[in-house]
Formats: sequence, C-alpha cells, structure tokens
Amino acid sequence: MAKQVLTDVVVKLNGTVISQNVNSVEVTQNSDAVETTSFDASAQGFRTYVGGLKSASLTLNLHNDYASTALDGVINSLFNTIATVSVFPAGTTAGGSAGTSNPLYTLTALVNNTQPIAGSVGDLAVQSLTWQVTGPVTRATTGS
Amino acid sequence: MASISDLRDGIVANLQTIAGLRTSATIPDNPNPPIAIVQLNRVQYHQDFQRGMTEYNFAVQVIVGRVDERSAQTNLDAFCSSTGASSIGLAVESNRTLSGKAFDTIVTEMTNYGSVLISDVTYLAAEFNVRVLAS
Repeated sequence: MAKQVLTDVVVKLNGTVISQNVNSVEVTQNSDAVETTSFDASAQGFRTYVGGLKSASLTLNLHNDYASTALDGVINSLFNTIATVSVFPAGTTAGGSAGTSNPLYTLTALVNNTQPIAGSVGDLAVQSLTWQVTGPVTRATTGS
Repeated sequence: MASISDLRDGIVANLQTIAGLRTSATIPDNPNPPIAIVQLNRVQYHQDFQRGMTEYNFAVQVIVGRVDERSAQTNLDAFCSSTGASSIGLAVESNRTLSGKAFDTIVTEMTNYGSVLISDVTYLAAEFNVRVLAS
C-alpha cells in the first residue's frame, strides 16, 4: 500500500489504546534554523542555515467519554504530568505491531492542557489538545 | 457494534412512548395516521479511528391526517412541540442510548412542515432529523 487513507490509526496513551475516541492526530517535529550566512561566495548571495535545537508537539482531537474509567477521567488524571504516547499509522482495535510500512512513533509529552468540556448545545463533546513533547520522537519498525 | 436495524428499532421504541402514534420503517401505500415513518437518510463513516464511531442520520416523517382535516394541523403542532406528551423530540430523546445500541441520540430539527402526496391523497406531515452516534 504505497499511499494510504488514515482510518485505522492506533493511538496509545500510557499503553492504553484510545484510538476509538480519536478523530485526528498530529505528530509534528521542528528544528531551529540557525543562520550561518557569511561572505562565502559559494552561497551566491543566499542566506545559509544549519539545524539547531529540535522540538516536537502532539495534537489530538478527541471525542470525549465521561463514563467511569473512560477517556475524560484518564486525560484529567494526567494533567501536568508526563505521558507516553505511541502512534501507528495502521493497526487493530487491540493495538498494532510496527513494521517497515507501519512505523511506530513513540514520544513522551507534557500534558499541559486539557479541555474537559467544549461545545455548544447539540454539539458532540470533544477535546482538542496540543501537548509539548519532551525529549525525542522515536521511529521504530519493530515493537508494539 | 449496532446494526442499522437496531438503531431504527430503538427510535421506533422511543416513538411508541407517544400514545396513539403508529410507527413504520417503510412508507405505507395507505397510511393510517397519525403515523411516524423512520427512514435512514445518511451515514457518515470513520468519525473516529478504528471505526470507533459512525454518525447516522434518520428522517422521521410524521403524517397526521388528510390536509383538509381541521384537526390535522393541531395534531401536527403537538408533535412538533419541544415539550408535551406528543413531542417527537422528547420521545426520541427519552432513551438516548437506544437501550445501549448507540452512544447518543438527538433530534436536531424539524423541516418540511406541509402537505405530502401519497397514493393520490394529500396528507399533512412534518419531518424530523434524528442524529445517532454509534459504533
């Protein structure tokens, strides 16, 4: 499957599969562009850069569930703590196994915002969360 | 995971809490008003990953009688009200999980209040949109 539509993404939060409450997920990595522009003629008048410090973030759009031990309670208990998040592009309801075409992205994030209630009358209860990743985002082709 | 039949049956069961209102899953050739006809209008798949949620939109058409019956509009007004024993909205939302088959159910709007022609008879009717969230 050279290209793929995201339908069976697996998202694990501290080892628990939460995919069936996840509407969208984004793992974003950035690095600072540190300028190295000089009088070097080989740059032909263009600015030059090297990569600096790296950072990453995780954005989740969740469909909330207020039932006992369900998503809302789990997220709320993680507020202001570090959580481990794993994301596969494809998997099963029980989870997934990484492979060469199904890489496992793992990160730890600071749960520095939650949104237990958001919406107008008649809206679906949702949480839109963006968490700062602390440390690296790892990509593996093995593991679960 | 609920089947569409389960969801339709759940809506019908909720509608049957209105005394005297008949229900049907298909448009009858000769409706015997007042009758509520529950039809699937739209399905939106993949609302969550791993088929965690599907959104179903049902149309509940309520036919109250021939358009020239003096009582027809009064009866239909009662079905369209947001409160009262004949309120379609209250009845459909009286068991919002449809006895455990759905995550939630809500009546979003009433449209098409007016006449409808069935088998050469013009009836007074209104249509209610029912949004069901289920796996």
